[in-house]
Amino acid sequence: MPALEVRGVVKAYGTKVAVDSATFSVERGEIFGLLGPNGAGKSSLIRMIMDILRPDAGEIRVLDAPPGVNERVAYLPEERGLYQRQRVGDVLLFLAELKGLERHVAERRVEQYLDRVGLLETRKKRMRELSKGMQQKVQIAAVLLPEPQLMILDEPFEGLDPVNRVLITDLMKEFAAKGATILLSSHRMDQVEEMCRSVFLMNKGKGVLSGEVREIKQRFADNSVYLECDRDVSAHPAIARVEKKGHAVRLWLKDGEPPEKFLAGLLAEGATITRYERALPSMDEVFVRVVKES
Amino acid sequence: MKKAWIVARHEFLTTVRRVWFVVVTFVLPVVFGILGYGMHQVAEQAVVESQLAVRTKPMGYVDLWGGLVEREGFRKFDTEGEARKALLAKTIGSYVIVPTDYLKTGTIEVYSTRRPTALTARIPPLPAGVHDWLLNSILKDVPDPDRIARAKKPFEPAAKYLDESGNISSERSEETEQRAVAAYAFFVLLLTAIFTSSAYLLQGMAEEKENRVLEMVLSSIKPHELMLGKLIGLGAAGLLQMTIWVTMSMVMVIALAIQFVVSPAAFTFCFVYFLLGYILYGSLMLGFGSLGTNLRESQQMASIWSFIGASPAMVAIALFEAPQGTVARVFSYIPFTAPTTMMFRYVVDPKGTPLYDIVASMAILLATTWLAIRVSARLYRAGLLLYGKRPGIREIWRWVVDAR
Repeated sequence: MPALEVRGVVKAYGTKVAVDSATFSVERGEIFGLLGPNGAGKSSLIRMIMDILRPDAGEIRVLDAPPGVNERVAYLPEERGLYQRQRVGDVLLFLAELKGLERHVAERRVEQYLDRVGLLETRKKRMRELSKGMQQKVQIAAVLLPEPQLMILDEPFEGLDPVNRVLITDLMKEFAAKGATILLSSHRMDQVEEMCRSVFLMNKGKGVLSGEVREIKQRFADNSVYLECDRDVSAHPAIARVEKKGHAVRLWLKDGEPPEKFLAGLLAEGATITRYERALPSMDEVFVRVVKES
Repeated sequence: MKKAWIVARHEFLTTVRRVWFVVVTFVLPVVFGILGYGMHQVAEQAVVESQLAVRTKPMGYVDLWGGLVEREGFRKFDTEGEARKALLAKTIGSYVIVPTDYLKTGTIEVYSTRRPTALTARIPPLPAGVHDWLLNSILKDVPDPDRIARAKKPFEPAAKYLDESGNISSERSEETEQRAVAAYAFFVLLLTAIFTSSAYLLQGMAEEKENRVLEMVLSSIKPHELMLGKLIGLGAAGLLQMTIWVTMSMVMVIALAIQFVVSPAAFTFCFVYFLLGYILYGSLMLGFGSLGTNLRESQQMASIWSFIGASPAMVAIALFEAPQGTVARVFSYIPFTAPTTMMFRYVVDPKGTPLYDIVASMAILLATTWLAIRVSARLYRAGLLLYGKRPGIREIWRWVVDAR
């Protein structure tokens, strides 16, 4: 059974349709990307998954149950904030107990996860004394410490520096490796590309693209290759366009010209090839293209 | 329910550790006490000062009646002109003209340069002893000194009060004054405790909304459990605060050797009315306060309840004078004013307050509180995640009548 199933979900605010027939499912142990430009309807969809909003139509199943308060599900909302006047340790302890942890377990986990995000020494500090990035990490620690089966993370990397982005990415991968499912909503395509196996791309409330990242990239690939070799091939009759990329060149082959045939021709000519790779578009390129087209 | 207790404990500990809670609980009563005593002293001093010229200088008089006896400290003038001259020269503080028909009318004209003030407008600008001097003058031909003495003080009231069975009550008239002070103290205590706790509720809710921590919390607990936990936690903090105030008052009463006029039943009623009043106002403030998009708006939305709660203060005189009167009874049956009014009535007049009034007011209050919780829970559920846009009346009504 999938960890999360969304079937034909619709949500409108007055006359504005925020989510229009969204359908996708997330397998257990998978890191799944929910993508879309600002205002695409991602946060509304997440709020429906978390039972903060009710859909006008459609069905949502979370860990094989209808949406609702679920101790096995953790949520990091897009809008951040914790109790500013309270101490970091007290806030985490409170949130952990609300997730059903016994007090002694919660106390141990608070220390453990504050340590994991590098903030153990801030336990006695008040939230307002921490920087924005540190508060963000505390909030991520709050999501992780119940060790949930499903994590819904809305823009988790917002406000983090590159070092902390890597730290949090590694933590998520570690959780996924242990069997946790992660729904990652983001507009940072590099992170999505690195972490997610599958994605669902929304634009103006509608699902415009879904599937595995590798398959999508292949689907959107044009007939081009990266080549590094000992000779200039720009005048080759099979090539439509050439673009220099560092030591390599990106070659766009003419329509109907198979890359395998081009490679075989080069080898037959005695060329020494150090790199020959099918050029796939980045998720950034796919994202921009799909959003523009839709 | 377990989660409601977790929220309750968290809210209680967070509240009692607040600097403001400690200040309001321990420092505020002392400050109020000092301020009240200071204001009383200042007012008395102001009255004394405004009377100083009249009281420390001789009084003049013009005897047109012709029957006045002489008295030390009072200077006789033959004409009003002379008396007025002496007054303007400040050799006397005031003067009186006793007219020819004084015995018939009793009127005397009093002249002074002191302007009347708010506190002294009803006090004639006369030195002490004028009453006795006039009596001595009227009775100068009466030979019996006992009669003269009795005329000066014709009776010593020794009031006896009968209870409903016709027995003489042991209650003394000073007790009534002490009860009035105690009733006022209970009124202020109850009102402050209810609205301090409710204000903490409102502030906490608005803060959670502004900080956007609510979405995270609501992924772990249902809104009605969250509301219940908050009500319990802050109610416990309010009870603690009230217990401390009551204890401080008792210590003061014992230390000043003031006779204890409040019965133990009054304390029991006080706690019951606090709990019901707090839950009623707390839930309404949470429900209506959640419709605001920030603390300021939430306070505006909830301020109507504070105004209603404090409204018995506007009829305080009617409550003092007639604790079993129509106004007092009407205010006792209105659930929003019942806690403070009923406590007031009971402390002022414990024997005269019918038990059925207390029971009826509690029953109405309980029913209204139950209704308020239901309505507020719906508003709270809908209002909590409302950001940026204030709902219209029609939308609010839809949330109230529509369970989902």
